[in-house]
Amino acid sequence: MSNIPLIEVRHLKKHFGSSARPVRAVDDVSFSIRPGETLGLVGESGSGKSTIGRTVLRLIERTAGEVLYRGEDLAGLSAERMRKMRSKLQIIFQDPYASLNPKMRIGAILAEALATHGLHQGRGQRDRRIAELLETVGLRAEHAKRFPHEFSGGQRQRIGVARALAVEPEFIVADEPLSALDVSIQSQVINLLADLRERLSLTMLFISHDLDVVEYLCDRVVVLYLGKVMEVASTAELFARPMHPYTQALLAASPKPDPTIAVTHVPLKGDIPSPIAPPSGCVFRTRCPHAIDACAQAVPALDDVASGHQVACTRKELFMMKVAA
Amino acid sequence: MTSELPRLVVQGLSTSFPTEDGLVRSVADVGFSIAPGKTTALVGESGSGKSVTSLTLMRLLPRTANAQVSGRAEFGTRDGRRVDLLQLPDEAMRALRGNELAMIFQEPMTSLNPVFSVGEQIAESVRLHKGLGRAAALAHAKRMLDLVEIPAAAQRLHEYPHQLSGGMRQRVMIALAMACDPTLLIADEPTTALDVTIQAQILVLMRRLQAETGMSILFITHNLGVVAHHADDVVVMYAGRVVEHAPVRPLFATPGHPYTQGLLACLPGKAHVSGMPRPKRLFAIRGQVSSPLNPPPGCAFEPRCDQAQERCRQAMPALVDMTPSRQARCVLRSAA
Repeated sequence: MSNIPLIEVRHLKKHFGSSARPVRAVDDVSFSIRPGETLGLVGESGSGKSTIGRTVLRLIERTAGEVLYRGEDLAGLSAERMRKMRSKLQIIFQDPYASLNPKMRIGAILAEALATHGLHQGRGQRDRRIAELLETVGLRAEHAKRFPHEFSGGQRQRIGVARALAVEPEFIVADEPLSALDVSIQSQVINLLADLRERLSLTMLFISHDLDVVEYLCDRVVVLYLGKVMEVASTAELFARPMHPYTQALLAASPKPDPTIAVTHVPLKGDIPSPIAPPSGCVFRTRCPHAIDACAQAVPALDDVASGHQVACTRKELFMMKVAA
Repeated sequence: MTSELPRLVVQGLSTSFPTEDGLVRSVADVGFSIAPGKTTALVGESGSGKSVTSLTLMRLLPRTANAQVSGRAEFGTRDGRRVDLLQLPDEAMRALRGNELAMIFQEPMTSLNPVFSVGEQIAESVRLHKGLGRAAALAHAKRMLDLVEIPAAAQRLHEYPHQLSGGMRQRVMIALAMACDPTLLIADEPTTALDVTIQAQILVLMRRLQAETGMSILFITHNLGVVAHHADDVVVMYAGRVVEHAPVRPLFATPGHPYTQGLLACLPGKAHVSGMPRPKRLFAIRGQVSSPLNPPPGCAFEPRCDQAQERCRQAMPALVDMTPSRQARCVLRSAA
């Protein structure tokens, strides 16, 4: 794994609505992804995780900040060059029912992706590539003749994966690719993603609210709350030593499939505040069990607490001492 | 306590729907019981028949579905009668539903009426079932919102569902269900649409209300993490049938049916033992659920089962006792 990032996001902002009272969906988010790495983006609804995924790929335009791909800012690219670039940058969507055109056969859906980027031209070559793609994701060549409604949810998600892979991307945004699937099918798709990532040396931004899946699949994790980064760490470090009170609450609230583990935590109070009027200072302070007056004064910076482990918390010393003790 | 009789005993429950392509048996020969003050979880994936089971018990299946229902569902009422929910006249069922028998659904936005304030919706239920006057009913509604820990209840009473967050709406649904002091609450995926920190709040609330009122809960969910901490008994369903029935701890410790074993093994949260490297591959149950129009001749899980034998293809195995308190529908368990 090289240390030069494939993707670097710097001070990314995405505001929706009027400029007087914007919805601050993403507010000054920075992170980077190394080649071959899978970075997890976790947070609850309204944390901005899907908006980040789409903004990175320029499916929606950012308000401010930079997204560098191999050092080059994607925002500066012309429409023409961006279109070419899209063969390197792909996305897998959450809902395998909504993201496939019901009127198109699977073969046509995949052929469209190839034609858009002028890959595998000529019928024979194209059909061979489609068959190969279907086999890559665990389907069969004859499935190309079928329509989306003839497949189950898990199979449709495999087709979504095949479409993303069709153009031989380097980087894939997977936006909650498992949440519409049943548990027994989820593990099939998790294994598929893990296999492909290794075989095709893919770099991935994996967006999810399911912490167990993130722990299993990701190398590093960015924890978001209300459009801001709360904590960044390697997966092992984050799950063993969560430092931010929000990460701690999120991990504690996620029920473990083991009845012998006693549930002792006290759930967080209240709801996520509105991103139109986020709290001053630390955005988490209104629900934080450790908040003090100082938390309302200034936005805490994302500071290093250990190698590769950053936390944005006014009272981080409190938790660093606990870990040391 | 009038007796130790279970609050609900379901026996041989089957629900089928006629379709153009033939009869679909969504629920077949389902049986379980729930003791007073206890929670039974109904677990299964899409199409396993868990929601159809609950809608059949509540008699809420749409008339146009022409459902064919058979079996018994014996419910112990507050006044000590034992009634069969499936045989009660419509009027008697209406008197129980929303009263002693309450239900909460997955999506609170679609189960609340958007044109009435939340206070009016709760008040309607208590006026209907308890005969309270308008002012008294509204006062009761406010007490209910307080009960489910909605802040500024007096003000929230006059708000409409769209003005509330998802978590608040689910609290309103629970307030509505609790308004007439139910003895049995059917909760169909009550936290599936919610974020984990909000889910934790709702689960703690449901626990508290159960401890205070002694109500029984039928908890329908696909989330095994929630089951592990909030159920006393677990009924695992697959393709419309009960495949395993056990108290929660033995079920998770030594699952008896290959499907239950597979479900637990394929959870990423179970695959990883802390301090150990991640396994390269997760366990996966191969294939998918067979079409309900074309079920396999024997065990419904046989086409996906790694332990399948020739006799599994012959006939549907019976639900056999593994121990006096545990059953599994598997030929491998019948020898034991």
